[in-house]
Amino acid sequence: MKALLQIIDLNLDFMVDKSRVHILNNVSLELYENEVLAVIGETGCGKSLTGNAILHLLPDNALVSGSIIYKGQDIIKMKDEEFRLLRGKEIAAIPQSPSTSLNPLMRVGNQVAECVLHKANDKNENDIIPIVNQIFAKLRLPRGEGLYHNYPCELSGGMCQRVLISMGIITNPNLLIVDEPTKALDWALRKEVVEILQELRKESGCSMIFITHDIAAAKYIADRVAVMYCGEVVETGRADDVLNNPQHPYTKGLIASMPSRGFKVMKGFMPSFQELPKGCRFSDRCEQFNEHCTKAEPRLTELNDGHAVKCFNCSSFDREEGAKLCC
Amino acid sequence: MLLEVKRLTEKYHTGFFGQKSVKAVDDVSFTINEGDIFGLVGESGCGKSTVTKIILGLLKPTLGSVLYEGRDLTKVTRKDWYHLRKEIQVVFQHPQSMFNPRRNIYFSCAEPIKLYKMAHNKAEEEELVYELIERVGLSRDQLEKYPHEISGGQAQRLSIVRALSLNPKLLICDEPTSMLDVSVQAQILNLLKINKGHNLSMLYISHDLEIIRAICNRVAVMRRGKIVEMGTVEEVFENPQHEYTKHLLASNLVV
Repeated sequence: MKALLQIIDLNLDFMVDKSRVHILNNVSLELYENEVLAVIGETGCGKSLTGNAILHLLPDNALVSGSIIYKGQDIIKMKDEEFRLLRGKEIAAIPQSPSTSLNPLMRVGNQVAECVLHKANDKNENDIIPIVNQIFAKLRLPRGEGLYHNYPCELSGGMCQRVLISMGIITNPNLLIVDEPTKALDWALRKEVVEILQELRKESGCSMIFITHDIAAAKYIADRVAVMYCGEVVETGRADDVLNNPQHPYTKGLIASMPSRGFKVMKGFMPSFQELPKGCRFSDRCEQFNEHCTKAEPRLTELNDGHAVKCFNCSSFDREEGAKLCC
Repeated sequence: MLLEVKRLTEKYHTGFFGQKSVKAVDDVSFTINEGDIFGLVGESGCGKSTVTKIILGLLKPTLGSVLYEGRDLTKVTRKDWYHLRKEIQVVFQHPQSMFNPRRNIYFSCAEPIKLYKMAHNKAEEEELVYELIERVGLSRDQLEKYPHEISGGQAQRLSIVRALSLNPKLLICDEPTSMLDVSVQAQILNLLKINKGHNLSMLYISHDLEIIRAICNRVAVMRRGKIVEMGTVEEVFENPQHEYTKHLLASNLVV
């Protein structure tokens, strides 16, 4: 398989009060064609920032280094004007929080139509309306053609989410970045949204980066998973491998903290980016901590078949213990 | 029997002249025994939160009554609520909205202590506040901070510990973890579970069936203002009777 998107050693710093705060640390990810990569982690671990870095949507005080290669081109080095031709057309995004991401003063249909109006100049507004309605129907949105003229406040949270999805897919993108699509949705809707995304991917064959903290949803849809902690990718591999046989202590802790696994609590809290521990960023919360951890920073090392872990202890990992944790 | 909700109905009037009416809660009855953790499940907008508002006396029901230790909560005067609020505490969904954004954390923590005159002097009050934040894992210098400066998980744990500091008999949790991460959610659930034995009853509202299954002993499933199924957690989860419950259980994403 060919890599559609390659992130190599992405580093991201923010200038805060004239001092540099290091956020993303050597993030490397690969996304192949027709593949879903789930990026999971806690709030504030840098998942959304990685997505925004791909989309050139970072604030002005961000300092980015490294490279993001999309179809052979380095998008970090691209000028905003050049990138604008890609964004929205080949690389699209579905933002988080459906209730606040839509313009409250604009009819939902027009908001979706707006995505193609300025990209394809040969179409006028009347041609687009049926296309928008078609997409609404495909996403099983109710109210038929009347929905085009509704305002966001007239729709429920789940419907707003689907309107956002239609904005993401109307241009038939090659790469779709989905940010927390299941957050604040209720139980039944959550499954519906994940199923819609699954169908879309089968139909249009687009690749997806699925940013979420919902482990169950990630497992349902993703081929591969990357686990992020504190601005670093700590574990990556096939979804089954990572979620059924987690190797990194953080991934293990995260999975054990799910209600269905008995909600075991990880000790401590995620450190602030200004007071990171030395060496491994997880060292102060880790159960397998030894002196080596604070001396040097571990590297993301491949264990087997694409399953890579950023931890010193994983070479001497006790496999039985891992199996116990999962069952 | 600690709390008995009897045939509760709440009608909202909508439309330009208020001529349309919607039954947000329709003939809802359930009971919570002492020491029970009672789960209330349902989709968004099914009337779960309206039920809590009525129990807390924030809304007057159109019909029906809420009996708390034999007393009808819908007819209690504001003065009597002062004593009842000590026994019935609540935790809401948005952690930051539980605190006054213009006062620091110390003020918010000391408020119930002052209100119920639990400390005789300033030093004693400080001691109680320190004890409170220690259970949450906040450091003392964070007491000077404002609610937006602490994380959502910390704020939510603080609001639970603050509610529990009054030794309530009934704690109402309205989706306390839906805004939080799994790892933080585990901390909250543990905090609640530790207090399970302490003669505390809980009404736990959520749409997450996994959580309900993990902590509750009885559960009611609500849909469009009505309770469609009720029973012990084992009964409802192992052998669901109503179509809607089956649908809900089928939309579980298994890990």
